[in-house]
Amino acid sequence: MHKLLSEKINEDLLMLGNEAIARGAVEAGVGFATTYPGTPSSELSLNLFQISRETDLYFEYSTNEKVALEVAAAAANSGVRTMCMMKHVGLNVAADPLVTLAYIGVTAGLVILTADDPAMFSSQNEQDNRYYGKLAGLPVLEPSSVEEAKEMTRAAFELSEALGEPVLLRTTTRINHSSAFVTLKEITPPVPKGNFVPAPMSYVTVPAVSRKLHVKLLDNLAKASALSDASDLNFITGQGPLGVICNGVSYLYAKDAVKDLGLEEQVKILRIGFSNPMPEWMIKDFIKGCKKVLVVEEGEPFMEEAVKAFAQEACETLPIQGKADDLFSRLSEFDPAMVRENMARFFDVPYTPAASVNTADLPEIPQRPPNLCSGCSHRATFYEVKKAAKAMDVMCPSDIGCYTLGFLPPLSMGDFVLCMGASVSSACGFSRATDKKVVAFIGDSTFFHSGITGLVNAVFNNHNFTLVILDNGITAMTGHQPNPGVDMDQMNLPGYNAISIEKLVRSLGVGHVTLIKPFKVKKSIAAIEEALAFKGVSVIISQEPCALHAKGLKLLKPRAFTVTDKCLDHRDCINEIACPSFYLDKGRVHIDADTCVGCAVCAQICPENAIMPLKKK
Amino acid sequence: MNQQIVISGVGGQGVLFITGLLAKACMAKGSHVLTSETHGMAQRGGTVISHLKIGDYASPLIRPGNADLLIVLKSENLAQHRDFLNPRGKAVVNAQTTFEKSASTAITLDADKMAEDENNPGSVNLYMLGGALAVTQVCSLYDVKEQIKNRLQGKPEALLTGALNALDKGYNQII
Repeated sequence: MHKLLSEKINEDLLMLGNEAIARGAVEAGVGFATTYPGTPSSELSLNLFQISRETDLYFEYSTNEKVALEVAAAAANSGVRTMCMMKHVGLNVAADPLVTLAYIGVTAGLVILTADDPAMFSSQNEQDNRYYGKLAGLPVLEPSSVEEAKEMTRAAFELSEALGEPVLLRTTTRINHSSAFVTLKEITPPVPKGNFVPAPMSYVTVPAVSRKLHVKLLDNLAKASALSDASDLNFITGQGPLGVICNGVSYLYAKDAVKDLGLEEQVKILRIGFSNPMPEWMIKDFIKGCKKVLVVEEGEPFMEEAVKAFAQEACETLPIQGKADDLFSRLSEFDPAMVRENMARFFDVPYTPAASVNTADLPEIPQRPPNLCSGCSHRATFYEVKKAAKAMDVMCPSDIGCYTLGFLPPLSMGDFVLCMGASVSSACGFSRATDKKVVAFIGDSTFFHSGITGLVNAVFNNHNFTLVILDNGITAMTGHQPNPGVDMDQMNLPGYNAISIEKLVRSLGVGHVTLIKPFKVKKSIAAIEEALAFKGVSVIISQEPCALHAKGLKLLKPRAFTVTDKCLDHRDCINEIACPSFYLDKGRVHIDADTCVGCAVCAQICPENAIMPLKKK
Repeated sequence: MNQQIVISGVGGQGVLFITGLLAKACMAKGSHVLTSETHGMAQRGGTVISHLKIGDYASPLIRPGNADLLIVLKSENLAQHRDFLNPRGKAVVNAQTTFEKSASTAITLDADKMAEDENNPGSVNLYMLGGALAVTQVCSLYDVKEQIKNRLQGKPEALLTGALNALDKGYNQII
């Protein structure tokens, strides 16, 4: 049985934030769940996926976030409690259905999880998705801790049903990826089917209907505002003339800071857990008794601006500050020391930062950035494209996935990365606006997510570039989730239909389609040269399973290679492909037999054929 | 007893696995535990770091100058993460050589070699955890062994024996 299905009520279980949210949804009786995976939300989806195989919960990995939210909108309007999960930038993709779904509303609870990533641990931006609550007119809830994440998920379903609107549950990486002990409560069995009652004047958003729906939305927002003021998700702790208003994980930092600075008798904290609409009267009342108010929030000054506006309405003139050059930044994530220091400065109390050990005797070391794995097929494809295009003036738009890392030297393949699917569409633009040969890279999952529309555009508008689809048969970067091209039978998951990328591409009328097996180096280079010479849109599909995933499925038996005495130390292996299995010892190249999977790409490029399979002892 | 522990390594070494073992062992003794971890891109060979706070803390992150113990699964990470230690803190480092000037803070354990000699390359993290348990008092060797037994229930016996052996060897090397 899945550990999150435990019926041991009142038992404490160590859970990751994402597991706590999944358990909260299970306790709330979620019957339907959709997602497109994205860090830091991925483990939440994975847990619900696993749970769906043991219960009546319906779960799907949708093609992209827009599709996920549209599928979810239907379920939630058929009376089924539904959860839709994505990372923060995923909500940009789903923004179209989001804003109009707020007009339509829901008949059963719909919780939309948006996992923000301040500091960009694995994202292309650090946008603050609380603004989506404002933009769409939807309630936003924000937990401060792992334990609260579970309770708030349950509360979000109830709030959604009380208002008849979707609710945004906004987390940050620090909540998703922290662990703590969480107390189990009773599970509500999932009900994955309901009924849709046609009511065109509520569901068909032609202008005449939407004008009425907008009125309804504003009414709901007013109700939400009253609920926010009455909600115990917004609460005050402590007392004193100094005020702190905070949300999310910042609340925990503020709490520790008040204690560390000995300000328990002087500071009161207003924790905002229901942050859109903000609790107007609670805030006006809170600031009335304060000499000064510090707003502690990661990201944008979302609460700060609201608090200042409420103060103006209430004719309060006390100093209210949060984001400033000498206070909190809009950049990155907060930490306990930073909050402590800024609180001390703002409230004018002494503060000595913790002394750290002297590290002067340790040498400077290079950073260890993420890297393509040993035996990664992307490395081989990048190398081959580079060789095939060496006489050309090439530029390479790339996309979101493991292969983004190909931009690092020595491969250096990746000149422009914008967002999911943009490799293909930006290739259209670069090939028209410059005279360079454009070679774009996209992974299989990203191609399904939003690369197809770009390719349709390219064929229709008769653009001139080469698209390389790096098909490793899985959504690898986020932890090996399925995508529409994946053979699910191979993972013992029946009931799916895999879509052939090759057939799809050919059906669009692409002028030149080539399939390569990237571990066959010479053959692949020749095929790529031909595709690059084609005038018009050419597509290369590079097929080789993700080595990590194949190892996990036991489809790949690693067969390590070794550098023999024939090596004359040209180092093409290290300088041109830089697989992490290589290391230097006493000036000679070696291969780490524990990590080498035996792709044999280095063996094929070695000028002396010095790299050979390791003979078993 | 309030204790802050940072565990540092690279993707694939099992940083999160031993973080979970330590957290559960401390929790079983009735301590309040918070952890914070790196996921995602780090899996691809990047640096992985986890923070474990045991005791009376509200917030999950550990800041420089505050850690009581630093467990370093990859020796070069010591330079990157040693500033987490407080002036009395100790580092247990997977390395062949001792760090002369840091001898008072850095205790070395050649876990890579121990794991290689015993043909147990996947257990470097457990040798290191064993060594760390000889330094910290947050929980005992016994407490962690109980968690390993729970965790490996139903798995092949050899896996459990290997894991417990690694933990013992690491511990005995330091104690």
